[in-house]
Amino acid sequence: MKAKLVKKLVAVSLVSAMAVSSLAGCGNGGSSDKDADKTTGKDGEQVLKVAAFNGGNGEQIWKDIAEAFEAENEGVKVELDISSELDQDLTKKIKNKDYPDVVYYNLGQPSGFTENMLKENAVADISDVFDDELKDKMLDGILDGTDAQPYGDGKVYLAPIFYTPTGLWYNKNLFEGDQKKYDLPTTWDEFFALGDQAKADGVSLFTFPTSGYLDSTVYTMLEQAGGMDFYNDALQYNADTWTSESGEKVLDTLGKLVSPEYTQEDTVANANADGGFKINQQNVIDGKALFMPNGNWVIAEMAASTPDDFEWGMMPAPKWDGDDTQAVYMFTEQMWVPKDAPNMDLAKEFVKFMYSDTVVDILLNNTTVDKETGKESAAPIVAPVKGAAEKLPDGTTKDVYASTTADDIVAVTGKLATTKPIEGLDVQKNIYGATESINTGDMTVDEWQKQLVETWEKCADNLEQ
Amino acid sequence: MNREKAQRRFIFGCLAPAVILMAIFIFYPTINVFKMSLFRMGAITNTSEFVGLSNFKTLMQDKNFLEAMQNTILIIVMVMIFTIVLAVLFAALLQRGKFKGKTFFRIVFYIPNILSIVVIGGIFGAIYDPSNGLLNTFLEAIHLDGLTHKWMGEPNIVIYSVIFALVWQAIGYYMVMYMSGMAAIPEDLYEAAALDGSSEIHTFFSVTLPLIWTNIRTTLTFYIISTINLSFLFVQIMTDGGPNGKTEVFLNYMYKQAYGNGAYGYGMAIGVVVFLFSFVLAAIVNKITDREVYEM
Amino acid sequence: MNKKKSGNIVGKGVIYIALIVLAITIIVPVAWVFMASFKKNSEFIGAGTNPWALPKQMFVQNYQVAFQDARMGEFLFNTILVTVLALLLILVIALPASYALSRFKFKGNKILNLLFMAGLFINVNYIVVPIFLMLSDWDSALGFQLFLDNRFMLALIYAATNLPFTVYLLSSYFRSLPKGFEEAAYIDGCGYFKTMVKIMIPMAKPSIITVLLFNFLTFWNEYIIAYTLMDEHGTIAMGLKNLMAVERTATNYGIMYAGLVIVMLPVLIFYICVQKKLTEGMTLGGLKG
Repeated sequence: MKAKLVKKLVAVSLVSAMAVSSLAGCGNGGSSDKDADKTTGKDGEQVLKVAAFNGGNGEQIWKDIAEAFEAENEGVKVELDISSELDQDLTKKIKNKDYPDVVYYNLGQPSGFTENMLKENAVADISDVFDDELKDKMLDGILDGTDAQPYGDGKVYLAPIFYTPTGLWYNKNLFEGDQKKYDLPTTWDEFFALGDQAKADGVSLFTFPTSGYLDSTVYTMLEQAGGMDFYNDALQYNADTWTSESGEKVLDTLGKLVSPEYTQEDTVANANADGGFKINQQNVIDGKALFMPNGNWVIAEMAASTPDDFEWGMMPAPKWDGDDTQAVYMFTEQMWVPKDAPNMDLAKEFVKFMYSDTVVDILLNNTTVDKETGKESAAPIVAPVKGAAEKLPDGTTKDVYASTTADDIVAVTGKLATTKPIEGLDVQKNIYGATESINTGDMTVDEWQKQLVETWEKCADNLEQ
Repeated sequence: MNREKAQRRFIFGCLAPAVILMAIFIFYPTINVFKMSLFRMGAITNTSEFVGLSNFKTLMQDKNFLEAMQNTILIIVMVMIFTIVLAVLFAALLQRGKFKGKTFFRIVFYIPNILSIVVIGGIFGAIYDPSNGLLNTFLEAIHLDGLTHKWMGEPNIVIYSVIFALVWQAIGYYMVMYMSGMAAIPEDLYEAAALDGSSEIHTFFSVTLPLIWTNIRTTLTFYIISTINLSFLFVQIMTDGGPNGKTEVFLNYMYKQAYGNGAYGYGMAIGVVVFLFSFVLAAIVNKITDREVYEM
Repeated sequence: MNKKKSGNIVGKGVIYIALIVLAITIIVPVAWVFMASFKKNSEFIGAGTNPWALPKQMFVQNYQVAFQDARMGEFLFNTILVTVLALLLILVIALPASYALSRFKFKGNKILNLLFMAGLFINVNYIVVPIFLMLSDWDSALGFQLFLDNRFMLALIYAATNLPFTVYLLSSYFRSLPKGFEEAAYIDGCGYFKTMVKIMIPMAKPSIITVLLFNFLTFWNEYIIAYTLMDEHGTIAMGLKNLMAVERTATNYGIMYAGLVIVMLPVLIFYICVQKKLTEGMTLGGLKG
């Protein structure tokens, strides 16, 4: 046994020495056909394995989509693997050479699972799914960002299947109607002035569920501060990102925002405790803090503890004086196909099917059921297909989607570009985790800037391709 | 001659199953950990590339790792000191003291040790919650508002919140160990001390403590081994190393690097360092506490 | 005389307070979990909730949901099966090994002792994935799945990974037994094996019970190995971890606490029944390499 493994490892290292540029595929030789017999089930029935992350959307939605797919493709059986710890389940399965065909798991999760698959070049190029017809149907620009083309090489690896505009969420009743207390700010100066005004009332300006939620804020601020080119360069780790005037503007403003001066005092403590993100969100409902970065999933997420007369609102991150537009961040959720998927063609069919009218309607009609009360509440999901958002029922969610097409709003997409694995580097911690240390006074904005410059340098050196 | 042969056969038969099992399920995987630490490996697919000692070189300059190391050492030292003092004290009280309810206390103190870490994580989540937690609401109720803290959020406090949970969990276990040591101390030694007019406190230092010294010394190694392990399980459930690395510990960082960051070989290098660290630390502690023991 | 007595009373008071404070920090949170498991979600979060308030109703539904979602019934059976198997295995393997190590002088004794000692330092957390990969390799060599997701295998690995500590405790106990027992038995014509089984092992009963209880708790609560190696045949601690992961995203606090109670309660009852035995056989030797 031991001898065999040594041999295998030596062989592997030889291969990688010959093809240094490609890390992928070395260890996959041989036994990947282990489950080949499983892919065609009884009576020549084809089995498609779909693995889906069980987040806030519930399981039913995947069962409905699977059923619809089976109805349209005769002889196909969809095998669902829905798990709230999908990253760990799939890591196990893939190590055991048992590959799913299609995976729904987002970028930006704490586990870094999708990022790791990308780092290991284990995700298939699915550009051919997006033919001209499908591209026409989809929202403009939604396939251009690094969250669809993680290597920035013009090829699509990640299919954006859902999208949500994100911004700063607040209690609408405080800013509109007969209980109106404050004016909605549009610039950072107004925003902080509002913070001072609110403080006099014993209310904090800002909170964040966990520091990871600040990503959309940071992305929009980068665009706001330096424009779209600056933003795109920043995602590709341009060395001047954080030392430029625009970068410094972002850091200074953010540093001020997360300081104890403006951020609700329990925020950091809750952000680190198990399930504490929800308490931070509750603080906006309870009026302890005015704004938090979030997306419209928060409505369903907090439904059980939201008073009936409460009304949510979302605004884009404020702009700086002299700017014409405000930015919202388009949060997309991704579906992808592993390189070793046993049924590659059928998997691509399934990805394409996600944009069909059938699925678009299933998504819009999604509901979640409260386990305790059994109460069903609408939790529509929107596919990045033209016209889908217009079909939403009237209300906050529809307004939020509609607001992103306004003239003075710029929609920003994308994520930091994918790098090779870098030992000892925690990018999320260096960007967002640092805000907690700034809040607690353990770190200054200057130190943060230094840390970010170093992080960007390391990432730039390790960009894929 | 025949007898010697039979004895050898018997010893072999007794030890073989245990040694074989350990070889397969403990030592062989450990050798693999050492081997993988020399590779650059993916976390999910089995891609790998030999990189020699490069992982270890990176590790020595890794600020996050050094912070995790500092935290782990602080946790080990604090847990050791607090647990020993409290466990020995309570063991002496329950073993030698004369008062009601001894059995009750013994039973209760051991409870944290029988609970799953997941359960303990849930319990401390409820205790430390900043606005609605048991601790802060209790302090407010008895008008000690000044003592309330963000137990999971203040960078200077959060590690002590973890340490408290670890000590809370460990006391009962070690108390029972020390009690069994004390039970073995012959009664006439106490009688002699009493005849000499020695106070109870003096007797504790002159009789009890020296005689359970071997016990305490043995448990020092246990503290090192189990605190490295438990601090990971606690941190994983309670804080995940936050805020911003303030409670990061060895093995949690290993997991984050191996899986979260996709640097599996690097994670294994951390595992190797942790193994060597605990071994060396135990050896050092064993050496400096090596003193003449009172044989009973 | 009088002075000493009043000093005693003060001393006793301090002692009692210290004991009671620690007892409270243990009893209150544990009892609180029981109480919380009957609360509805609306009693945990939002304005006007108080963690110390009694549940407004006995919301037993939390238990139903937790029991179903964490597949507790099925997992409970697996856990009992694996725990019993592992306890049997560890006794059968560790007893002879500890006996041979502690009562005989032979070539290699020192090295073997050191080996078992080294085993104490190897942390399950970093060898669990190599173990998984090894079993996965065995499976692919076989061509079908046998070693992974196998309850017997899990029990064997539990036994193997807890051997160092078990052997350590048992051999310390054997060492503490007076010399000369065996000689008398040999003179009576008993063989080595018979001497061990008939005379020495019964003498180690208190220590065996302690070892059994320790290992029972370890196996019952273990989830890292179980989670990595098992799939369909999960254990109860694994079920709880899954449940916590699901309910954490959904933050159904009541269900979470009900899950905690379901896992905690059997152990608590078992512990209260056997607590006396737990402390009897614990004898620690020095760490002698």
